Amino acid sequence: MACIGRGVKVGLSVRTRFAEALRSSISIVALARLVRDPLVHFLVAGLLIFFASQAWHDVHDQRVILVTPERAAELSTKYRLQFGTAPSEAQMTQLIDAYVLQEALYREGKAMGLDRDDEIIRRRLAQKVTFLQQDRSLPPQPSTDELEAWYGTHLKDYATPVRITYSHLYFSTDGVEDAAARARAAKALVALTSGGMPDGVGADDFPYQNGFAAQTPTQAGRLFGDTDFTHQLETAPLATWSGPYRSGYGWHLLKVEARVPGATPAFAEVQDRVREDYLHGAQAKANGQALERLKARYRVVRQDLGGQP
Amino acid sequence: MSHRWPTLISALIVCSCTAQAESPQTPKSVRPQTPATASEVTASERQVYFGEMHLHTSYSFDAWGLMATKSTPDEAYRFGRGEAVEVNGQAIRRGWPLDFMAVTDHSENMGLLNQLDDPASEISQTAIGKEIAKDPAKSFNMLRQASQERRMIPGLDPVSAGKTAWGRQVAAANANYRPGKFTTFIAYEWSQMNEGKYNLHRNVFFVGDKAPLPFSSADSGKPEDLWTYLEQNRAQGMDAIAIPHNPNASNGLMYDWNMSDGRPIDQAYAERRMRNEPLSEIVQNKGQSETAPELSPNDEFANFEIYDTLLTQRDVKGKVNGSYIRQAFGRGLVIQQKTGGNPFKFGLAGASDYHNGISTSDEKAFAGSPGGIDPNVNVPTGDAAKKLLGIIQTRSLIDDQAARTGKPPAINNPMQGGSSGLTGVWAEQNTRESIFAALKRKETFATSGPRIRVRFFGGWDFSPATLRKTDWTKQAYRTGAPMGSDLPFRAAGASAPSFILQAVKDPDGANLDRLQIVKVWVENGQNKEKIFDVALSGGRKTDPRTGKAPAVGSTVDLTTATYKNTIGAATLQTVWRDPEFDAAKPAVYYLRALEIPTPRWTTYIAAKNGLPLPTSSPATVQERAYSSPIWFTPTGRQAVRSDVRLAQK
Repeated sequence: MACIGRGVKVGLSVRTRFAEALRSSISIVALARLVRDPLVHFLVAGLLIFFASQAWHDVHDQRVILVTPERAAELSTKYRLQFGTAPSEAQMTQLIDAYVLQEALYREGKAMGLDRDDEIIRRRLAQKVTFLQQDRSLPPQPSTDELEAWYGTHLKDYATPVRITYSHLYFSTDGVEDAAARARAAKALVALTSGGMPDGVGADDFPYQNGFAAQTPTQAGRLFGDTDFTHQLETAPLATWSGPYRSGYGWHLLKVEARVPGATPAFAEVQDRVREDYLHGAQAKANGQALERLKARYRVVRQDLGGQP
Repeated sequence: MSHRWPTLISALIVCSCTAQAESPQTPKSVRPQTPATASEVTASERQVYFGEMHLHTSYSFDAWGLMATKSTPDEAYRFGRGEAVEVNGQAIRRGWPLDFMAVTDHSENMGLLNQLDDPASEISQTAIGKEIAKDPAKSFNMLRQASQERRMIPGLDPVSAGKTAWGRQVAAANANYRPGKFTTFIAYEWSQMNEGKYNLHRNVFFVGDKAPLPFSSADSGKPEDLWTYLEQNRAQGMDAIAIPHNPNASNGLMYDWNMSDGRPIDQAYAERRMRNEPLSEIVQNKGQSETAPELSPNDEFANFEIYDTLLTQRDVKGKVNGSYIRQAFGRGLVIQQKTGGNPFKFGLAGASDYHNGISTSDEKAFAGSPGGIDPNVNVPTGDAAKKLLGIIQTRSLIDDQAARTGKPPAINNPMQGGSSGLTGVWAEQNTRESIFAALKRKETFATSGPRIRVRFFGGWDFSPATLRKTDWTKQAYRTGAPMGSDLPFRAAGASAPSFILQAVKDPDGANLDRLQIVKVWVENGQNKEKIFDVALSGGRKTDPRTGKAPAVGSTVDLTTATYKNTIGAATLQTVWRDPEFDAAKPAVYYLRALEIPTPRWTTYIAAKNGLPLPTSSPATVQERAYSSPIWFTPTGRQAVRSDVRLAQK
């Protein structure tokens, strides 16, 4: 309150001087001249600066912790968010005590410069500015020609997947050691390559089909898991038995009969998807550019490489 | 509130990116031609498809208000079909894409509060909008109380918000439908809470690409009225079904003996209910509803993902009787004997009921609360992890009893929630028509999360030799009945029904422990249950004295939250004949497959953070699959009825 009192006193003395000036020049012309008087400009500007700096000092005085009604309301709201009811008077006092202590510690820490090298504070501030930057730029709607050109450079994202036709033999690990099942599969492979028939090499019953036509790797993965067997469908030698490869169920021998490479659909077939993806990408690009522009405002000196500031 | 600022901004970015895809005016995405029509594929060639039937986004007022959810239905679908989506500035992708999915936001206040994410929206300018934006959690009890008392809150217009939001829901479901690859259903949740606390919720699913405005619990709180809405739409060619969930929190009302008006269930009610509600959710985030240890004292595996408190009063237990599915199967038989109609002749579904728009189902891709996101991407650490494991206690935000009485709200128990379930269907192909038909004929099963595939057939002529044929499924469909249907008529001279059971492990998951048959029947007007271990991994044998099989053991390392598949089996299958069959007694049979023990989600979080394991929740779980049942009805009046249904199939 002392600060505010001081301000009022100063304000009064200025007002007295104004009154005197008014009394000595009553005519409107004189008033107009007064308004244009550089001295008056100087005085008014000085006053504004004075009040502003007073107000700034009030808030930022390191030894005053202001608990504004807004701050109290915020503490109360946060409590309610966490516990579902409004804080009692005693709880409110505790909340304010805790706030005051935190604020005091925060200012001490700041005065000691502890914030300067704190990684978490740096990241948090950087993140806030990132969000602010990204919010600014919305990409314009592309024309069909632009879309088609863009599609031409992103064909592989729209290509249909490879389709694999294959047979497999299953060697279960149930009730036996994993290595034993693998060895059985390996032995069966020898028999197959020396002319044995698939149904005569002692493979186990597989709960689903032993052959699949024109499967995509994703479809195969749904059944066999994210496993070596699934991956081998795309790389194993064609038209010959190979293995053993592990799936989520056990060991397999594999014979890939055919692989039909994927194709690229015509632009008209996928135009809507292309537009969605284009806008998605354009937004990401605009966000990236906003951050680049921000970075460009800074000069980087690589002192670690011998650069001079 | 400055801490909400970055999330708000990022949400706006996300909204602005997806507004294009969400707008109902946007032309539908191009639909690839489907390779074959359903009729060209025979029953024995049906495939398993896995789906999520219950998920909320920011369009649900509770998700927005309580969990600060920002995701849209469109993002939820994109994530479900395997695209990367951004959550809180991080790109995340599902471990494996789902085959089908439905976003089921609450119809009550749909799309009302998430408008506050747009500072330019009309509601953002109102006094009440500003008040809610300041304290979103407060809105939950406020809106729930208002809807309970069937009154409007001045300044909030749920009807017009609902219309706009529903248009976007329909558009998002249609735009993300990829026939043959990814099926979506237009859907919503009818959120009736009797007396504000007893859960009678149902999700509603439409088969087509058009749907009328939702019929919400504000229109009527009686399930019978919801069925009238479904029947009227069906008559106009917009077929739809409802799936109830969380009977475990219904205080005995979900599978009560009585109808909404308090009179005992009659035949007309039973038949209507089954026409409109062919399935029930048996497992999801808020616990399993198969059975409770009190109801099934002889079931050593009943103590699994128990959630026995009311949803709005976390410290109050609900009534057990009438709240669980196994008992309901028995009650249904009792009612059928009395009235000729079985109101509980339903199949099974599993889902997440997560409220963050991000549907995951693996145990290690779950971060606790319904608002948690995949911990592989966003590992809860520090205080967040401690809160999940109960080391730091928090209080419930949805305890309206406390809000009224001024008592402190109940302490949260985040460990009570389990990770998501899944629905499996046997369908000809991955299209709306084919999967919807499978849901209606109940050829479904539920899992507690893993992609365990189960097959279950009942008949009179199956023998162990049947399974040795490579094309045994052809015979199974020809002479038997698949999960979700009635046993065929008893052949002359057949002494007891036999069942084919098969379970195949999740190809990326744990081995299987055992296969069980759960049998429920009626004796002297009372429902009974018994569990048979019919296939055991590792050559174990049932002890003839106790009737119990030895436990499979455990390979779980609790400190690293890992396990090994050195016990259990990749596949289990058998043919089982009921040794206690009595042709005079109606019975229900369903399959239950158990995995070997694996770490529970709490154990993953504790291990990742080096925190102690919680003592109030189990450290390991035996995940499981449950098939829809197969029913037997003795010859006589009821059997004729069931035969008529069979002939219609």
